[in-house]
Amino acid sequence: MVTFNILVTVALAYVVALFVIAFYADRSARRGGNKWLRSPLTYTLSLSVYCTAWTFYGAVGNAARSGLEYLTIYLGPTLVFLAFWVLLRKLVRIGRAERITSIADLISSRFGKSTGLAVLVTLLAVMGTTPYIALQLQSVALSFAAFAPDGADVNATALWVAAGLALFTILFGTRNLDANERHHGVVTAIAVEAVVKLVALLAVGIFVVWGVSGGLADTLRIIEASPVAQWQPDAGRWVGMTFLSAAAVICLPRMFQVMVVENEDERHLTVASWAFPLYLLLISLFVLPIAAVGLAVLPEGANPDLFVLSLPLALDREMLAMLAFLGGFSSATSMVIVAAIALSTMVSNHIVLPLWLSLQGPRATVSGDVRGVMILSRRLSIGAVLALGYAYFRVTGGTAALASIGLVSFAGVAQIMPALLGGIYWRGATRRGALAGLVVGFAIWGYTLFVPAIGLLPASLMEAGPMGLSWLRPQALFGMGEMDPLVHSIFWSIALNSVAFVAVSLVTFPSPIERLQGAAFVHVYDRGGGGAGYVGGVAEAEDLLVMAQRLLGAREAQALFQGAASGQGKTGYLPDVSPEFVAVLERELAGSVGAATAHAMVRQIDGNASVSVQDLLAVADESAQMLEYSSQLEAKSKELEQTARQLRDANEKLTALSVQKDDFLSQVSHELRTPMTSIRSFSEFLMEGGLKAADRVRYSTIIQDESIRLTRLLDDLLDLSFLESGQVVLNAQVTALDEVVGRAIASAGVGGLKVARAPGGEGVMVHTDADRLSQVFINLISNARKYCDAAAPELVISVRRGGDQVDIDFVDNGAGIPRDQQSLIFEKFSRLSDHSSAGSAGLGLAICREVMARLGGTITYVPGQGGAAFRVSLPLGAVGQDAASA
Amino acid sequence: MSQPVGSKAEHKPGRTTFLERRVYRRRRLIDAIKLLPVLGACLFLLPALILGDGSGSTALRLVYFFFMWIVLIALCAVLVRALPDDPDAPADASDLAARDEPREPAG
Repeated sequence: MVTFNILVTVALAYVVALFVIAFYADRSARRGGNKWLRSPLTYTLSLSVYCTAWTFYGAVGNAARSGLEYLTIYLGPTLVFLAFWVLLRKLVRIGRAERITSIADLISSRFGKSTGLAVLVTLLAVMGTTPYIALQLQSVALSFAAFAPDGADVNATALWVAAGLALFTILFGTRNLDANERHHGVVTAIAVEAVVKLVALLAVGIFVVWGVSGGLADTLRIIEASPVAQWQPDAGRWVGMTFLSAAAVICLPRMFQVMVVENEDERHLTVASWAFPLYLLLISLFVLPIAAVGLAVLPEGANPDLFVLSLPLALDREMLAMLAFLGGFSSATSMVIVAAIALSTMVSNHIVLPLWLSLQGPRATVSGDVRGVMILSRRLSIGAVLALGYAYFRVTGGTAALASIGLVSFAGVAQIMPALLGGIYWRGATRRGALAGLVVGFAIWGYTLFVPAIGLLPASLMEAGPMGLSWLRPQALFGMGEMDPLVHSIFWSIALNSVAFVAVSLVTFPSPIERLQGAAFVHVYDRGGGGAGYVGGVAEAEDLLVMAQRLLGAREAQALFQGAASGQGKTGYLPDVSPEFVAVLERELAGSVGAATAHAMVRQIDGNASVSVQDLLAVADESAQMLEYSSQLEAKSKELEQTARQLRDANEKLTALSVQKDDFLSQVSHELRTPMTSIRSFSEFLMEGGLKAADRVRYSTIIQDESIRLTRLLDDLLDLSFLESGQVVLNAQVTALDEVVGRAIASAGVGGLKVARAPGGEGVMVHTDADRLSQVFINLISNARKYCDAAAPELVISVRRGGDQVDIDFVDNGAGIPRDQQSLIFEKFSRLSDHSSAGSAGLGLAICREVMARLGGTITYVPGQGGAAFRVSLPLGAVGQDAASA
Repeated sequence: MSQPVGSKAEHKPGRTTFLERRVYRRRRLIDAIKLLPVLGACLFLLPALILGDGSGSTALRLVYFFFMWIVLIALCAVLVRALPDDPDAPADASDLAARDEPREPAG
C-alpha cells in the first residue's frame, strides 16, 4: 500500500528533480545554450501547459458526464495551430519585433502604449486565472487525498503546494530581467513535465484498454454500452466550446507566455503546427475509454474527476497510480508556474511600476534602482498571485463552483480576442474601440457567467431579472432562454464585444502613436530595409538637449549628447538627430521617467514636423533591424557613414573658412587703411603749418589714437601667432580662481551689463597663468557687453568643480549665437554679422581658444542655455608641462 | 526583406507576374497551409451541425474524430516539411545563432 508519506516523498523527489533540471537549463542557457534547449521539440512540449490538471483529471470527468464534448477543448487549439501561418506566425513575429512581454503589453502597445488598456487586460487576466490556479491547487490536494482518504489535510496540502510553487517561480521566473524575458529553466522544466503527464495518461489509457477491457474492439463495445454513449451532440454547444477553446489558446496569459514571449525561433512554429495537435490528440486519446471503463468498473458515486487516479488504485496498480499522480501533479504545477510568471509580469509592468514611478516623481529615478524595484515587484506579484489562488480555493474549495470554473475562465480571457485579432489585422482599430469592446465583453461575461457561476446572484434575480425586467435575466438576455448558459454568455459577450470594438473604432480617430503602432503591427512582415534617409532638423537637437537637461541634470545630458556626437564623428554637443540617437535618448530617459513618459516627451519635440511616420517607425524598428543586419555589414556601413559625415563637415568648414579669410583680408586692409588714411591726412595738415595751437593738439591726438588702434590690432595678430606657434612663456602660479574672475570683471568694465556671480566654486585654487586666464575672462565679459542684445543685459558667471577639472560658465541672456555660426566663432578672423565693434577684428575668441589650449584647458560654446554660453574648463592640476617649458 | 538600405524600391515581393517555378510552388504550398484550418473546421464542426440531433453511435463518432484529426496532423506535417526555406525570409534563427556563437567564448 502506498502510504501518504511515500507519496509525499515521491512528490518531493520529483520537485527536487524539477529544480535541478531548471537550474541546469538556466545555467547552460547562460553559457550559450545547448541544442536541446532551443529545439522545436522543447517549444512544442512547453505549449502543453495548455493541458492543466483540469484537462488531466477533468477531461475524464467531463467525458463521463457529457460524452464526446470534452474533445472540443482540444479541437479548438488544433484548429488554431493549423492556422499558424496566418495567425500564430504573425503574433510571434510581432512579439519579437516589438519586444512584447505579455498579452496585456501586446494590447497596450498596439493601441498607442495605453496604460489604461494594459491595466484592464491585466485585471481581466487576474480574474480569469485566479480561479484556475485555485482549481489546480484543489486537484493536487484531492489527488493526495485519494491515496490517503483519512490521512491528508486537503487545505494544508494546498498551502504547501502553493508555497512550493511560489518559491520555484520566484527562483526561476525572476532571475533576470532580460529584454527578451525568456526563462530557459522554467521552459525546460515545463517540457519535462509535459512528457511526464503525457506518459502518465497514456500509461493509464493503455492499461485500461489492453489490461482491463481486453483490446480496442472490446473498449469500443464498452463505450457503446456505457452511459457516456447516451450523449448526443448539441450543435450550439459543440461549436461554442470549440470556438471558446480556440480563443483561449491564443488569449490565455500562460499560453501567450510560452507561445509568443518564450519563443526562441519563429520556425519552431512550423513544427509545433502539427506536433502540438499531435500532443493534444495523444492526451485525449484514452479519455473516453477511461471514463467508460471507470463508470463500468468503479462503484456508483465515485468521483469521475479522479478516475485517472482511482481506477489504477481500485485495480491495485499502485505504481501506475503513482505515475498518474505525478502526471496530474505535473499538469497542475506547470500551469501554476507559467501563469504566475505571466501574471506577475503583467501586474508588475503595468500596475506596480507605473504607480511607483508616479509616486516617486521624476527626479528620484535617475539612478538604476528601477531595476531592483522591478525584480522585487515581480517577486511580490508572484507571491500575491499564488496567495490569491489559495484564498480562492479556501473560499470556494470543493464546491461545484470550482469544478465548472475552467470554462468560465476561458470565456473571460476570450474577451481579449476581438481586440487582439482586430489589433493585428485591422489598422483602423483604435484604443477607444478596444477599450469599449473589452469593457462591454467583460461586463457581459461577469453578469451572465462569472457571477452566476460563483453563486453570488440571488435566485430571484436569476429567475426574474433585475427589477423584474425579464429580458435582462443573466442567462436569458433578450429572451434567449433556451440556449445553454455557457453558449448564451459566449454568444452575447463576444458578439457585443466585437460590435462595440468595431463601432467605436469606426467613429473615433486614433492618435498618431496608435496609427504608428497599428501600422507596425499589421504590416509586421513588411519591415526591414528602412531606417535610412532620415534628415533631422538641426534645431531639434538643441531642443532635445534642453529637455534632457531638465530630466537628467545638465551635466549628464551634456555628456550623453557629446558622446553621441563624437560617436557620429562630430564635435560639440549637438549630434544629428538620427533614429538611433533618438532611440538611445529615449532609453536613457526611460530610466528616469519610465518608457511611456519618455516616449511621449521625445515625441513632443521630435514629432512637430520634421519627423515623419516612417522615421518613428524606424525607431521602433531598431531592434528588429539589429537582428536582420549582419553586424559586420552594419559596422562597415556605419564607418563609411561616419567618414562621409566627417568629410562633409570638414568640407563645409573649409569652404566657410576660405570665405571668411577673404572677408578678413579685405577687412584687415580696411582696418589698417582707415587709421593710416587719417594719420596721413592729419600729419599733412601739421606739416603745412599755420595752425592754431588747439588744432595742432587735436590733430596730433587723433594721430596718436589711430596709431594706438593700429598697434593694438598688430599686437593681437602677433599675440595670436605667438600663441599658435607655442612661443609663449607662461607664468604659472597658484591663484584663487575667484580673484581672477573678480579682477577680470573689474578690468573689463561692465558698462550697462549686469554681471551676476552664481554661488559655488568659492575658494577653488588653480595652478595656472593668472594673467592669461584673466585675459580670456575679460574677453568673454566684454563680448557679452558688446553683443548681448537683451533689453536688460545680464551675464551670469558660475564656477563648478567636477572631478579633476573646474568649469567656469559665462551665460548671458541675449539671443545667443546662431546655430550655423557656432562652429566658426573660435576660428581666427571670424566676426559675427555686422555689429560695429571698433578695435575688434574678430580675434578675441581665437586668442581665447589658443590661450586655453596653452593652459591645458578648453573653451567651448554650450548651446541651449537661453543665451550665449561659453564654458571655460581648466584642469585643477598643473599647467601642461610642454606649455610651461616652452 | 533583409536587404541593405537603399534596395527597398527594387525589391518588392508579390508584384511579379511570372515567378520562378520553385517560388511558385512555394506560394501554392503556403496557400494549402492556409486552407488547412478551413478544412479542419469543416471536418470538426460540420458533423455536429448536420447530424446534430441524430442518434449516432458515440464509438463511431470517436473513431471518426480521431481519424480526421490524425489525417489533418499528417497533412500539416507533410505540407510544412515540403515547404522550402523562404529565400526572402528574415532568417532570424540563423542570425540569432550567428549572433550568439561569438558570445560563447566571451561568456
